[in-house]
Amino acid sequence: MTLRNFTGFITLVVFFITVMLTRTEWNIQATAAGIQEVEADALVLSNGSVLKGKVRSVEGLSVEIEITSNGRTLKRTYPKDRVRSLSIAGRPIDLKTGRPISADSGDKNAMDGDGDEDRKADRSERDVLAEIEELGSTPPSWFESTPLDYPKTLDLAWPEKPGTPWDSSKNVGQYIWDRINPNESRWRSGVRLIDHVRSTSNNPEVQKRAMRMLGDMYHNLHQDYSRAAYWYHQSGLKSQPSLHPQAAVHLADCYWHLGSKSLAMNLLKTMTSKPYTAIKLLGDMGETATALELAEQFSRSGHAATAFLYAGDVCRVAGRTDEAEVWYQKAVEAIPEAEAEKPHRKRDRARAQASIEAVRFYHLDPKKVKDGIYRAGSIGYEAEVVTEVNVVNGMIVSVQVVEHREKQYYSSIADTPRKILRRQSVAGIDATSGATITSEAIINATAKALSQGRTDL
Amino acid sequence: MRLDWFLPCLRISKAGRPERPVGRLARFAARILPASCFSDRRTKQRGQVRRFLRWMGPVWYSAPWRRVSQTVCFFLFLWLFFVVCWPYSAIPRQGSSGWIPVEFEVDSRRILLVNDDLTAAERILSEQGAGAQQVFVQDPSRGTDSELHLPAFALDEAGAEDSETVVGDSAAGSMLHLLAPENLSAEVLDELSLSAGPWTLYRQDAAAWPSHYADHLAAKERIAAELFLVIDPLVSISTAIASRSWVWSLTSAAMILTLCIFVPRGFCGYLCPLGTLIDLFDWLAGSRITRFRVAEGGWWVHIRYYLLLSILIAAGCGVLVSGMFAAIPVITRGLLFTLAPLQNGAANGWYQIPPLNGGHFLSVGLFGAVLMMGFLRPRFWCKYVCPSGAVFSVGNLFRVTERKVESSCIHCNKCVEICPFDAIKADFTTRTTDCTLCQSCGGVCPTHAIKFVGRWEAQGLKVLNDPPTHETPLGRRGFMSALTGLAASVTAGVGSAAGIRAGSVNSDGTGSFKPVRPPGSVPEDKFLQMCIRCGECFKACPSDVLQPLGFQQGLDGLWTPHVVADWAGCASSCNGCGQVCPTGAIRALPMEEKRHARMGLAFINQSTCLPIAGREACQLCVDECTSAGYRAIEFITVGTRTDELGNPIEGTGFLAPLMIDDRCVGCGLCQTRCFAINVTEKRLLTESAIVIRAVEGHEDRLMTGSYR
Repeated sequence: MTLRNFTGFITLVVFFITVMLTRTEWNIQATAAGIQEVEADALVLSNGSVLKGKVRSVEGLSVEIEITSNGRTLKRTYPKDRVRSLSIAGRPIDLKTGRPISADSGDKNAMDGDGDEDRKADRSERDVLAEIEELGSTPPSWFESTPLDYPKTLDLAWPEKPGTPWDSSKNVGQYIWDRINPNESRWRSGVRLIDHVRSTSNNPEVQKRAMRMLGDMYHNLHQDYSRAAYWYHQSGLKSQPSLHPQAAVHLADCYWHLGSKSLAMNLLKTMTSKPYTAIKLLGDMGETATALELAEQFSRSGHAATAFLYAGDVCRVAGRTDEAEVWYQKAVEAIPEAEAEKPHRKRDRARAQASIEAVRFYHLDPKKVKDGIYRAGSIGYEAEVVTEVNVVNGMIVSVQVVEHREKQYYSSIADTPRKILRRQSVAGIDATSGATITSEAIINATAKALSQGRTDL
Repeated sequence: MRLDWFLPCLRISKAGRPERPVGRLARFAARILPASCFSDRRTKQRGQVRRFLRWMGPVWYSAPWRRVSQTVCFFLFLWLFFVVCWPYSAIPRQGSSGWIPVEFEVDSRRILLVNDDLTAAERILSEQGAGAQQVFVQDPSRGTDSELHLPAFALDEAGAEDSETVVGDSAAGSMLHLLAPENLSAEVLDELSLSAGPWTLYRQDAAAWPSHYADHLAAKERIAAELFLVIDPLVSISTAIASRSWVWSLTSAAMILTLCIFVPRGFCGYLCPLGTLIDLFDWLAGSRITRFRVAEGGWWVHIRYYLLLSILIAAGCGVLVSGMFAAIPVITRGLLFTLAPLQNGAANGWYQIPPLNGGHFLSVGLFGAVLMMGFLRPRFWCKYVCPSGAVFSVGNLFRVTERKVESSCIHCNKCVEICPFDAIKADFTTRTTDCTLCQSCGGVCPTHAIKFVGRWEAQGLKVLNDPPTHETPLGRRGFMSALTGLAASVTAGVGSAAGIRAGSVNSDGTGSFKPVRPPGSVPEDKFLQMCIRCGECFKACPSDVLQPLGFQQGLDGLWTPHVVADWAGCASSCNGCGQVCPTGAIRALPMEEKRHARMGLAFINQSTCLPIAGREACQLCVDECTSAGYRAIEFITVGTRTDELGNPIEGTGFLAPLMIDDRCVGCGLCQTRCFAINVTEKRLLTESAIVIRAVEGHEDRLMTGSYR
């Protein structure tokens, strides 16, 4: 055998081995794909809710789907007119024929439901704006039946600068702050009052303020994003977002919740200076880097501690717990000495410290937790929020808030545990908007509770 | 009515008779019971049965039916008092939890629910008190404030049958098929479609106003809890006179008085639980200590008439004092202040017993005195003092039956000795106003000379005044003594009325002590005239919200119920006090009315309330009021800091309570909570920062009509 031949032989062998190896790799990849669960079927209902499970039949006038939740199989049958879209194994299905729609005509965005209950599936900007115009302009179903009751001492002229002292029986804004916001039972009549002010005032400035206030109320209290966005639009906020930065961030949040990240991002981009609340929104939208950049800008302002707290939350949601801990630490340090004794500062400090305590446990896998019922608490808005977590066979089967004094933002009391259950983890759960502090307390308490039963120590 | 007439086995055998027991029952008893129960006929040794009867006393032997009736009534009274008026066994409405909705078909509206608990379906299907075949669903994960109100679902009968077989086969759990109503709203459809449970099922509407205390009392009250109070005629007659109004229990008084035409003074002999208790006391203690015994006759023998007259005169003057002396209120209050706290303490913990006041000691003292009179003579109270008995004595004038003695009387004096009411004169004839027709004398009469027959039967009767009775006919002396008594009673009646009126600090109603009365109380002047001070409402009141007034309101308000909200608040699901009130001083309101009846109004102390004073966050009263369902306290933000521009700073200030006066019924739950936590436990305050007061315009005191 000549050297030449030998080289040729070697080359051949190498080629074969390479091919073999590559093929093996292919095989491995193929096997891995086989092991991976087939993408779940997804059903999007007309209200925007997304169900994932196994579609059993698409025949006739209804769709039957099996959902697995908490280790149980639930069966649901929906009439087709309540279904917005359907996908089986990742492929969009034509509801009429029950067959897959060809790739180009499919509405891919509709399939993307990450289980975030209060956020609608991604949609086009046009759809979102159309919904805002259509739905947002109509009064809610309860509007007519809600009585217009407000103290007769209230000054409906609503001057821009309320005189001192603070008097919630006279000044509309202070009345909203003192009496409407803390009482859920008054949220509807609050909307009624502000709408009354809007429709009866002759002063365009007051009308605009009332519209922004309506937007704030629909967004913060009712979580009714299309109506909130409608009234923000009416107030002319869209053209001058920097004049009312808080409201603008709320509007962007509405866009995001209604299913359009691009609208939200565009709005934020037009703002010359963003308030620290934008940090949370950016984080929620997955723009972690931008969010942290923004937080950094606040480091010299009086809001540094709050901004850093938000930044920590952003890192936590993104799963970057080490960084989150650093941000929380920075938040503690950023509280100015002079103000450390003020109640809201104390609260911020306690929150940051509670998050530092809990942040190490965010990524705790419930599979590494012994079966049992665990209980732990973390600081909330008013006092400690205590949750009880039940773990069975490495699964979180229940999360219950057993002790709390958060009367104001009750939605997160039910909402956050549900999210934890669905995700089977506390990592990456975003706080219920408008109830951030309570949600966080639940998340922290749950993480701490789970840590009591960890087996990997 | 001798026991041996009914049980011949008790008879002593006569010479020459066979010595075997007579009668089938007795022979059977002789076969199964040990020989020691029976008397030995040859040696004349008494057996255990006879010894037991002797030990029990001669009356058991001579008038057993009277004793049986007394026993039954006494235990009935105790049962009504200790069991029916015991609110603590009421359980709040409970649902069946853990139901997972596994199937929901929008078209057919059928829902299939499963539960890990094998017996859950059976239990919910068989639950008592459920009206229609309906099930109410709650999703606990939504929280109690949820706006979503799921409709009632029908139980799907066909489905229920299926479920049994499925349950039997798989043994995996229970199944339940429900049928949703038509025209479901979008929100309800979403809940049904999206919720993964677990749900809690109720057979009654879980969102409805709670009524477990009321339901519990109604279920137990097959016999009215205040039965004995309403058949004490003095209670209703005196309250009717004092308040000059119709008192519903007058009908019961009329019934018992009619009955006592046929069994003269039968109430005292057969029914009255106080009489029975005095009998027991006399048997236990009175018969052993004889040094205080007084003679049969004396100035005291007619006290009861004068007392009755005084009470009625006082009532005529609009002041009610009968509660102090009437038989059933005396025993009710006596047990209330002695045994009821023991029952409460033993069952719920000794710290649950409210503190005592002067009124308690006075009442217990009076009750003790009533019993102690047994040392003077057996049933001294009943014979000579009890004004309720006097009503029956007067009623005896219209009697149609009475005790008669025939000429076969041998003057053996056995009847005089056994008579518990001193109702037999020295000539063995009857003092008709005293005789309770207990028939003990008939039982001991060796010649069967005593008959209980129609009043006008007059054949073969014994001659009167033989032996002579030495009793004064209504001559000059008798007339004089009666006149003196009358004068005394008129003076006492008018005097007590005037004294109590004058002593009442509330008579002018200006700025003086104004107690918070139970829900449904009639206007205050009428209330004081109608409340018999029996204490039944205290017993029926869960956790002693109602407590007896001491002397704060003078003698007029003594032992009347008032709300002590520092101790406890009026349970929103209870209407017990009105249900057991014998006179209607507290109206018997249904739950629908009671929840609207205002007792008073809560006032927040603007200088001590913790969040208002800026001390710390506290929302105890708001939580309490909201969970009770009144929602009369809202939040208000106080102490908000503002920035340079005058805008409020997020997170500053406290949430403080704010009263919505229109919604407050004055139940006092808020005050209870504030007192228990902020005063007792944390010692932050010296008195509750929220207190209820009875104020003009915020207190519903109606004689008739609705509170809604």
